[in-house]
Order: sequence, then structure tokens, then C-alpha cells
Amino acid sequence: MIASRSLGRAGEQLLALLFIAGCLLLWEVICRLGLVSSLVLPPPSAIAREFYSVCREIVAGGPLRTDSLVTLYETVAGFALAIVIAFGCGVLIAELPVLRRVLMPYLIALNAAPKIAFAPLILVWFGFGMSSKVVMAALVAFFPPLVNVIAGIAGADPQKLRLMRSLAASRWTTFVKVKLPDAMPVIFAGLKTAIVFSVVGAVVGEFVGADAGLGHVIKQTDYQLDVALTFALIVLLSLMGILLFYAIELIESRVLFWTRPQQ
Amino acid sequence: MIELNKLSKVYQLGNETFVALQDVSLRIHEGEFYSLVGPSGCGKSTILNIIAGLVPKTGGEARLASRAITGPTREIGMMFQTPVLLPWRTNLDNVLLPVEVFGLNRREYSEQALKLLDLVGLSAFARRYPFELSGGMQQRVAICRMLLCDPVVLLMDEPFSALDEMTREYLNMELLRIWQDRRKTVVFVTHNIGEAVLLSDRIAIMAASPGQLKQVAAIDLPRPRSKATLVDPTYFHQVARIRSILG
Repeated sequence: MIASRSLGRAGEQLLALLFIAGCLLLWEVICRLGLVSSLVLPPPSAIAREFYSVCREIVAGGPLRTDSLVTLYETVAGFALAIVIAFGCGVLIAELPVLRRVLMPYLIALNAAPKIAFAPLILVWFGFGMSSKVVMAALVAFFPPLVNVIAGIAGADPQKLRLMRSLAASRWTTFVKVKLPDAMPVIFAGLKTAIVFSVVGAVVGEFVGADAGLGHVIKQTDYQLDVALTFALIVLLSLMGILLFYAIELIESRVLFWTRPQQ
Repeated sequence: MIELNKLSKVYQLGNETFVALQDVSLRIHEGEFYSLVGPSGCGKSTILNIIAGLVPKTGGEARLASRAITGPTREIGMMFQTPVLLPWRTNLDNVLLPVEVFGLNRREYSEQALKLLDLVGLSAFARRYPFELSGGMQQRVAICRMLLCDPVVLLMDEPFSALDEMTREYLNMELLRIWQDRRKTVVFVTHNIGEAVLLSDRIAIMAASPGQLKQVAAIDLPRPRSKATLVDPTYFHQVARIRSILG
């Protein structure tokens, strides 16, 4: 009964591929039948062609390579800035209850504010260059790791803490030897959200005002109604996000070896 | 070695007060194996936590080696219901944790740590991680960690209650062997009467709500004890006696 219902892992993967292939096929057919104008929605085949030429240009060292590297740099730098500040703030807030009570309401308010709305201001404050995009990426990416650092450290296993207390361990020793490593799985979950958010932040920053970067190119292609190229660039940005996400996951699996499921 | 005089512990939960311990007085001698048994809620773990300096008392006196207990000290080694090993450390590094916390020289103690792991039959796993061990093996690592810095008093809070019966018996024998060798003062909390009789010199039988001492019973079984003790008629007789006191 159960065996006939479950497809197995390979079967499920095949089904997932069939699903996306079906969707793309339907999309292609709709476009080919002329149900929507290709100016509004180009067929997947056109997007694929554009994506291929985008990739070729990047490999060949054309202007798109520079734009990709600019966006990548802004994303990674913004992410780094966000996690350093989030870690510092998170540790202080988790370890000092006074600070938590004083700061939490403001942090919640700031988190609730639409951070993307700050983009024009940040452009004014940090200029037209990359630094405003780095700050924008950091701002958008800041809260998930902050919340997770606080939750991770405050949620350290009470039994391990009791062990440390029974050894009369100092606060610092307990923090370094138990609280921090115990919080790492939760902190890494925050990092994975943060890296994807910083791609968003960098692109939004480029939309508002920039002379380089993939967000800047998307805006230009949009003006020129080159919708296929816009789609291709969106695919490229998604790919960048996915690669960065898996890079963090790779680091996580190396660092947090003890959380890996055992055979 | 340990003196409790009219010890009491009251928890205040909002408007309600909960008496966890009421006027418990007992003396535990140096080198004695002393068990606390009783139903859940009788305060046996609370006594252990007060001796460990982890929980403040609300009344009476608690002394360790003639000094009032004010907080955790290095003279005490502790073991809990679960092994509480740090999963990111090797088993050897887990045994060495107290050395690091106390700021002692790691190198001086690593030989001793390896000897202890060898004593409990785990030397092959010294550089492995806790998740590679079974529950009983993990508890043996915890025994090594407890013993490493040579504490004067061992406090064991239902250390084998999460294990299956066979493993429990095996670890009881290990503990007897180690205790026979080192003669530490042990305070052992359990709700397993058989285990308490097998291990102890004396057993404090407690009653719940409020947690109080019912009676202290001396266990008159020859040492060294072993698996053979478990089939000794005197053993069964003692178990029956403790059971009848418990009610």
C-alpha cells in the first residue's frame, strides 16, 4: 500500500522536472499562439536565447561581466556588513537583559518599516557609487541574522548551561564554550536568509540610482522594452542568489558537522 | 562531609507557594555512598542541587566539609540524567571540559583523561564524537568528565534512569568498581530501589508534598559488591524493607 503510493526519491525528482517542463511548455504555446504580445511576455525559448548570449558576454569579458561583478561585490559586502553588525548587536542584546528591554521595541519598529523605502535616502547619504548599494544590501539583510543570533544564544540548551554552572564557569567561558556553538545552527539559518535578502537590497539600490550593476542594466532594458533580456537578467540574478545560498550551506555543513544526520 | 540541618526550599509561583523541601536534616560521611529515593516531587533532586550550589535554599543550613554552601565549587563533580556532552567536541575534549573551565593545564590532564576513558572501556573512542556513541557509552564519558579533576564529592542525579535495564546494570557495576577503587563521597538520586540497595551504604527514603525525609536505612550488604549481590537473599530482603518504608 505504502510502497505503491510513494514514488521514491528518483521518481519525485523526475516529477518535479516534468512539472517545470510542463509549465514552460504551456508558456511557450501561449506565446506562439499569439495569445499575448511578445513585447509583454516573450516565450521561454527567447529568454533562453537571451540568457545564453548574456552568459557568453560574461565569459567573453563584456560589460555585463563588470555589471555582474559589481552586483556580486555589493551583495557580498552588504551581507558581510550586515552579519558583523547583527552578530555584535545580537550577542549584546541576548546577553544583557537591560539592553534587550531598551532596544527591542525600536528594533521591532525598524524591522517593520519597509526598508526598501529608505533607498532614496541612502542614495543621498552614501552617494551614487557602490557604497550606497552595500549599505542598502546590509539594511535589507540585517534583521534575519539579528533575530536568529538573539534567538540562538537565548535558546541555548538549559542542560548544557546547568553543566557549566555546576563547574562554576564564568559568563565568558559559558558563552564561548556552550552558548555560541549551541546557537550556530540557528545563526546559520539566519545567514542563509540574509544572503538572499542582500541580493534584493543591492538590486533595489541599483534601481534607485546607479551607473553599473545588474539592477542598473535591468532598468535600462526595461526602458528599451527588451523584455526577454530583462527576464534573462532576472534568471542570472536568481542564479547568483542560489549559488551564494549554497555556498553558505556548504560552509554550514563543514562547520556544523555534528548536526549532520548520522547513517 | 555533608551536613543538612532543617533544610527547606519553598518556591513562590505568583500567589502560590510550593514547599519542595521541609526541614530535611541529614549527615553524609566521607567516603560514603548515600542514596536518596522517593516518589517524584519529594525533593530529592532539589537536595542534590542545593548541595551542588546550583539552587539557593530558603531555610536551614547546608554545609560541605564544614563550610556553608554558597555556590558551585570544584570540590564537586556532577552527573545528570542525560550525558550532556557537547556534540562539537570529541569525547576526549568532553572529558577535559572541566580542566578548561577551571583554567588548568590541558596537557597535564590529557593523560589522566585517556586513562579514565580506558577505565570505562572507551579508549578507542577518545577522538570520536559523542554522536558516534550509544546512550550508555555517552554516560560513561560523562562519568570520566565528572572524575577527571578529582572532586571530593560526586553528585549523581538519576544518572542511569534514561538507559535500558541491561545497560543500567552494566553501568552500576562500573560505578561500583570505580567507587571501590576511589572511595569518593557519593550522593546518588534514583527512583529505582534495587539500584539504590545495590550501590549504597545508606539510603534516605523521602516522601512527597511536602518533600520530607521519612527514614534513613543502612544497607547491610558486604563489600565489594558485584553481580553476585543481585542474587543474594539479603539483597532481596533489603529491597523489600525499603519498599515497605516507602509505602
